[in-house]
Amino acid sequence: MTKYPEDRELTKWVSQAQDGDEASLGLIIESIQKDLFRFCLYLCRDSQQAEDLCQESLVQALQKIHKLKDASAFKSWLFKSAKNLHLDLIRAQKHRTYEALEEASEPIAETPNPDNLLEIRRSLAELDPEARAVLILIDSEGFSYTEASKILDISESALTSRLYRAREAFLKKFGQGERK
Amino acid sequence: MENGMINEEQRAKAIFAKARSADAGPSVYMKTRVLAELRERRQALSLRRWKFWGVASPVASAFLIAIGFLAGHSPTQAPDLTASTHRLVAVRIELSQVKNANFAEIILPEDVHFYSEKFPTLEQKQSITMAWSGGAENTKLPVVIRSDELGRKKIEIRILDQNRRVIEKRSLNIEFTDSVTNTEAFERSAV
Repeated sequence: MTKYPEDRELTKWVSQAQDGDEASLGLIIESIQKDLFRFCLYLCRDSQQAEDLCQESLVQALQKIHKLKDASAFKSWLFKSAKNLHLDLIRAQKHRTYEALEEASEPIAETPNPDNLLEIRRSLAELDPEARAVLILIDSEGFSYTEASKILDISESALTSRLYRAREAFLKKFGQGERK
Repeated sequence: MENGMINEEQRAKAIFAKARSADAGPSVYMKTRVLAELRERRQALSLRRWKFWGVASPVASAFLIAIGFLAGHSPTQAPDLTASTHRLVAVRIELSQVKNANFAEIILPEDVHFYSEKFPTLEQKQSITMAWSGGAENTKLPVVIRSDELGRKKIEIRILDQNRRVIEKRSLNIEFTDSVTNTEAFERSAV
């Protein structure tokens, strides 16, 4: 993802961090934390969980940053790591059935955000995790189909059909929420 | 149909864009927390490596810790380290970065032995090979050894690539005597 000047900056900091420059780690976090947190927030049920997911994804990615071959792929790599961690979390929750029942009835935590953020999160929460992820990556975070398909480990054609269904379902639910 | 899809795409993107301009972002402490957690995990990893070699055990209090920056040596040069015989010596071998490194092989001379509380069979071996990438944050090789024989002992370190070909050789000379204190050996660092 190197279409914006900030992406080029990020690539430069990632390369510097790979060469052992500790100061670049802080710059990487500053430049990417907002996008990553928003992605996590859309994936998770509440802000606290999103904070934890965001933090863990950053820690794991920065810990292994020297293993990344292409510095310009850092953002996709990081988002993939967040998506995988979130799926692990879902799987772990499925094993804790008594807690899952509680969580299912738990309302999405209110955040101080105005406008439609809460409604977006409510609508996204009704989609399955895969549909949610593809919609967020393409329509919210602006990843290309190629990048998103790599993050999600699916073919571009599978991504296209999944995105179509996800978008349709999301807009339907979002529209219902707005009319209420 | 196609127009409908484009409309849906535009609608969805517009909804997210509106939220994007209003969202608050993560906690202001996110960066601090991530960097602190990263430091903690790196330290824990480093401690685990030391534990592997038995350095964190109660026996470790008797260890001599030595750091050697390795270079080529001639036999007439002063030793890199001086240590006592019959005692465990924890040597943290500090290497400069080596490109394409995948493994490091440590070869001991005949009268010197490895020591590991967890893996006692290591004492029977005269050489060990460990994964070592030689990157910027990974320049140290910890090893615990012991010698019951007096005299200068040369430890060889071979850096290997992924096909286990030797790409670099280094050596560390340790003078084993019967009269060295912990402090002397600790302070000594090689060229």
